[in-house]
Amino acid sequence: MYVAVKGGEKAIENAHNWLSEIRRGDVNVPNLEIDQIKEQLTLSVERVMSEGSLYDTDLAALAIKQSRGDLIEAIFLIRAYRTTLPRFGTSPPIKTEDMVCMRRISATYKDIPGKQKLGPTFDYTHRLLDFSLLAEGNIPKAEKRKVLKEKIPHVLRFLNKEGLIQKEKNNNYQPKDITRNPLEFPANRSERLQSLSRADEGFLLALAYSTQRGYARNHAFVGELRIGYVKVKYNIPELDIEIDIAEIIVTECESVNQFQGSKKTPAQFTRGYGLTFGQLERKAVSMALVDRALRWKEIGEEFVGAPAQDEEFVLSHCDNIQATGFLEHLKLPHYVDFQSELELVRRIRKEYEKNK
Amino acid sequence: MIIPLLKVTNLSKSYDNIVGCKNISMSLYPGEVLGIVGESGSGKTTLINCLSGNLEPDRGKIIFNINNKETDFLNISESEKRKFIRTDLAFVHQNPRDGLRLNVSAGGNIGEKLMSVGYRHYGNIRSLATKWVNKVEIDKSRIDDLPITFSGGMLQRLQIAKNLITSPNVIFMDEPTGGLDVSVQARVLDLIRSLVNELNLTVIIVSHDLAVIRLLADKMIVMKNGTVIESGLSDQVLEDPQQEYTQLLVSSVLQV
Amino acid sequence: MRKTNNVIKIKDFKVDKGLPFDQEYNFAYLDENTKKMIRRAIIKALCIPGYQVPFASREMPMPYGWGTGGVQVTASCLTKRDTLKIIDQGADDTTNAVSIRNFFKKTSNIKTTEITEKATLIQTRHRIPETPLKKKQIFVYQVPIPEPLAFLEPKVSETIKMHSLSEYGAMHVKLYEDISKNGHIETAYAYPVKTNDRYIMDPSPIPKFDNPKMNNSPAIQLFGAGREQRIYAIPPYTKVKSLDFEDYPFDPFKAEHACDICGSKNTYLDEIIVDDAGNKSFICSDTDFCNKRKNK
Repeated sequence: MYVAVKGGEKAIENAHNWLSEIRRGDVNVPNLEIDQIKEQLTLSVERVMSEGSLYDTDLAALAIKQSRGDLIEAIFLIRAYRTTLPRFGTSPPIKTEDMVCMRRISATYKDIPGKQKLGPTFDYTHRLLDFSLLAEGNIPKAEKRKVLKEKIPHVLRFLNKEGLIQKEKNNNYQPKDITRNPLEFPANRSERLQSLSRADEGFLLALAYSTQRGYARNHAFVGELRIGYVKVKYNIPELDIEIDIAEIIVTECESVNQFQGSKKTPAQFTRGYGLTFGQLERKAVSMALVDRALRWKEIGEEFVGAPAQDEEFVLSHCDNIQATGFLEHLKLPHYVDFQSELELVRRIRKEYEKNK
Repeated sequence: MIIPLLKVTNLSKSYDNIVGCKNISMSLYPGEVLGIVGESGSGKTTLINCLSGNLEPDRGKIIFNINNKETDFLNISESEKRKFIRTDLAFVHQNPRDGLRLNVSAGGNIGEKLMSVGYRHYGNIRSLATKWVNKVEIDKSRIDDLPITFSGGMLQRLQIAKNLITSPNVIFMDEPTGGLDVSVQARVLDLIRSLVNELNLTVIIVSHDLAVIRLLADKMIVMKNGTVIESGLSDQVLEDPQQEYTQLLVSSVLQV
Repeated sequence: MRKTNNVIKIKDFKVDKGLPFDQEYNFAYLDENTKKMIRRAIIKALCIPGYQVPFASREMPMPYGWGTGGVQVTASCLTKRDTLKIIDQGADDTTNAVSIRNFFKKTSNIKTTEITEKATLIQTRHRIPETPLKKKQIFVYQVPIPEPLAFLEPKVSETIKMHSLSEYGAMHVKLYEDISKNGHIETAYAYPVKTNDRYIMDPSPIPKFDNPKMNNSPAIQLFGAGREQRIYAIPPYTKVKSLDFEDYPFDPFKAEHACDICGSKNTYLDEIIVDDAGNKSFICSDTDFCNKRKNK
């Protein structure tokens, strides 16, 4: 007689041991250090911090090591850890106008106050494999300049002055933390931007690309892209003093999009906004384009049924931890529901044979 | 004294700064067919959408009186309103695709109306649906087919069946033949006319086509720039129009 | 160039200090404020049977879709006096059941059992035990898609309206279409029900064989959907009716076999292929029930 398979527990333990072994790989190769990941795989670390919604390079590097370099798995580890952290309070908004920029470009003006600054970018590199990295290659020294003392103004301010670009109104809305409140539809822009900021980079990229190809086309210019260090402040309520608690790297993109005007508004430029932890240019620009596409209603644009315009579609599907979880749950046992379907198909077929 | 089934008082609706309809008052009696004519932009579609609950008017009163029960249409809760629309009203769209589920069989489409008002017996739903498919001259062998396999005329007839199956008290029709080829228009009109006579339906029909109004409507109103400029018995208005605009409409159509 | 080393850390970097996992977390993993938030949602759900209450689902250390909703509900209801049973597909020893049970053992050091009668709190995926549930038991379902109308209307903003106005005609259209096509209602699991004569509710992907067990049950039934951020509930002794037509009544069928281990004829069975020729064996999906019956 058949005896049902037991031993899920043993199987899980063995599988996890094997996983640890294979993660370590050949023990004759030196163990990967967290510092190496942190210093040399910085863009992976920053993506994990951005989509994990937790700024901590050590934890992100650890997560990357633990996940064998699978970034979505690493993001997942960070998210789960984040859940358990107590909240001390909320910092006031960071001031990106005070950013110490390592990179700052505008595609709309050749020369701007504060200057264009290329910074450490892959742009204009030739994508040729650099075999010298196989050995310890010679690293060219970058020229050093002093950090500019004066603030670098946002480029879009100049369009603002002329009244050529849509004004962002301060509606004094206290943004809700989407990780502490359920997202409900229609969402407002603050919640939308929070979702997009921790959304999957690939998903945002594809959506932004679709707007460029005509699905809710909103021809975009990169009004400004800036990357650099900003201070995070915190007001200690007991002492009533504001202190700097951290300095973080963020990427900010403001897009300028043409707009023909509608019954409501005369022709003007409109904007989309992207902000991410770390140096994530591709994501920040994508985010700005998607943000702009989602703003069709407030601008009085037509809904053309494009995916990037559909708030509920975008926000419900942009989170890779939700998506990957639900997708991967298909690997769980489904014996019971499958059995139920089996019986149904058999019954329908039996009846079909009978009536033939 | 006969109480009007529908009484409208000073109904107004505008969009931003554009007038949809302004200060409309009218009555509709049981068994009456009322035609609304006017060129596009005259406000006739705005009016019918307000009366049928598709649009929220800015001002005015809409009172239905059905089986001696008065319903203040603009002052009931959303759920009461939806229920009233489900059970007492029907709306035949110009484009049948707006009134049908294209991924649901013909029988399912007709049946949905019954199920939405509480029918829970498959056999009864099925036989009523079959009866109505027949009534609108669709072969009953097509009852399990999807509407996407139907011609334009058949789709419109299916939509009519879906709307009439629950015996609604007021039926709104927005250019019911407007989207059809001339060759099929006659057949659909003929069907509507025979159903109206047979079932003694109360109908408000919007059309820019005076021939449709002449054929179906007992009474008519003429709209221009959002207001009613002339109303009365259809024969009377069509034979002896008082307003210059109506005269123009009538002469331009009848001479063709 | 990079200056992130200057960042002042709020939290010590303690993961590598070799502390056992469980000591770093609160009882049953979630912090007390989160549990309070979830318990409020549960109470609201119990007051409006079948209504989906939105809640701020947390990220859990297992993937969305693997029972995070159920785990959060369980974690919020769990007390130190509870005895916990976890099943998946009816069995206590399927991989995900083992994994979730271990999670609660680690984070709460709670007593666990495989015996349905002994449990005060049972978390399940896809089955209701054959042993009838009792008064004072809490029964938690893991729910992937809480919205029964989702397959007719994917937009939540629309389905919310349909629920609030009881516009459920479209739901029966699906059943109508099934019958006219195949002579049967084609839904075999996650078969929709009407709770307390008001809300149409998804019972989670249990086989429809289990649907009648929900009706008038003395236990508290809670449903948690983590990814979709919804909690709903059936209070004890509540009417739960599976949708059907008067002339096509609900039919909770199962395989027409008896269990090859315990011989039971009226329990839900798993079908197992036993050899290369495709020969089949049928055994109870509820392993606890099967063991007890066999040992009697």
